Amino acid sequence: MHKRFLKPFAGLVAGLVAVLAGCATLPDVAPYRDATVQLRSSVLASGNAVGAELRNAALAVGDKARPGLEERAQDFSENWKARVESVDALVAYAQALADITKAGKEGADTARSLAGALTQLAGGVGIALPPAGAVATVTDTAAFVYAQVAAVKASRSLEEALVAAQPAVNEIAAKLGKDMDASLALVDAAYGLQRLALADKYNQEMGFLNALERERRKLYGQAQLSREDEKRLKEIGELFDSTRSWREPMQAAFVRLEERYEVEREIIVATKAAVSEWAAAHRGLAVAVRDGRTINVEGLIQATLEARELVRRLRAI
Amino acid sequence: MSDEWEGIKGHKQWKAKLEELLAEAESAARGDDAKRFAVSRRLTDFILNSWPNDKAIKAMDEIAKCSAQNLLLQTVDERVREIAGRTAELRQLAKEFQDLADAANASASAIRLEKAHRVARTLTDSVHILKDFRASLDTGSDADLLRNVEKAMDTIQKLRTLVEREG
Repeated sequence: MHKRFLKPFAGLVAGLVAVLAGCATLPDVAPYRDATVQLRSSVLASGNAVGAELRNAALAVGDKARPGLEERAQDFSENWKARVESVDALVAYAQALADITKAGKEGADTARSLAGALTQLAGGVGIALPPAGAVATVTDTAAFVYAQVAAVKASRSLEEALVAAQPAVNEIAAKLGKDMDASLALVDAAYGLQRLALADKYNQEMGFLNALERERRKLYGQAQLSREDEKRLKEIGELFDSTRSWREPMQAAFVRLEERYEVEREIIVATKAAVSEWAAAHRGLAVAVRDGRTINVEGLIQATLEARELVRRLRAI
Repeated sequence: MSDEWEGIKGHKQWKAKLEELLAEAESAARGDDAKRFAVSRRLTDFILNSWPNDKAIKAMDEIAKCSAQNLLLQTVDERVREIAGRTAELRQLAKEFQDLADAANASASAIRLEKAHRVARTLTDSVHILKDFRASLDTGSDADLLRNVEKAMDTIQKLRTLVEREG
């Protein structure tokens, strides 16, 4: 009974396996999806950094310029939401690609699960099934065959999805790249406005320090120092020391601004690089699926990891 | 301290330096961001280096500050407008990617034979409910019968919906 039941399948299985074997090597899309999730965090962090710097600049500038700058900061943040929504859609897309691959790799489980459901249904309506051993063998055979079928279907679906998406991938990467360039200019401008405000605030103090510094350099530049010169140098040193109470907070304000600015700039540059790597990895993915090769997303992973590290540093400042 | 400020002495020389920077600022306002940042930075450095900080120098510093600020605010205005100008296109692209994700999800669902699973599950549930219904015709109370008739009706409705939806 068992062998008689299986006999018609033998040729079909052998034929199918021969046709399907080697046709469908599914790449691992999970690293691409994970990197896309990280890309979303980088885009979000870049927008947050620009928005925060514009608001900081608005607080730093005078009353006359403040309302306009606050409005620009608000406009920016509102518009940046569309960037975050667009990378949300990229995450959904990358997740769907990973799901196709997963479904393609789990063909055998799918077939077994369906066989179980059909067995239950047959039992419910009173259809007499072959002996358990025969059912198990048929299920195993179906699972084996469907594993190959699912892999081929997944490979085709993946290739179709990747080819269909490529023009949109190129377009969104170009637009986000331009957004990153504009963001860089905004951070530069916000930094410039805050540095200007600090210069204005500490104008008197900086002028005094610069004058002392000039005089000290002039004295040191002389071939020989007279007793008077030495006395003056000592006085200059004491004057420098006496400025410590306001000089250190002033210098700390400049240093804090510089540090934050450097990291924010690096985040935006890293995000721009990650966007570019993401689009390149997508092209690589399409080629890998078509040629049955593995994909290399190392560049993308590195770019997104760098952005993540910078976000961590920014939070620490 | 940059060399640019070395050797400048007296109001006349500081005024000449400011005039030079203002001329460059005027040209930078028509130029690109990099040029504006470079000039605004030098105007800021003018404020930090001009000396002595008397009334005349402070008046020059104020002019330098306004000029630097205007250059930077101009960049902010232009870049925010530029970003806003791409927003509608990005929303459209987001929609496109959501559609691509939906299509890919449908493919994954087809590979997982989800339709077949759903049909088998619903048919199995229906069979069990209809069996209960048949049993209650023979042995159940009126209340049981009524309840099972309702369940059977509901099951048939669900089956109909499933057949319509899954094609």
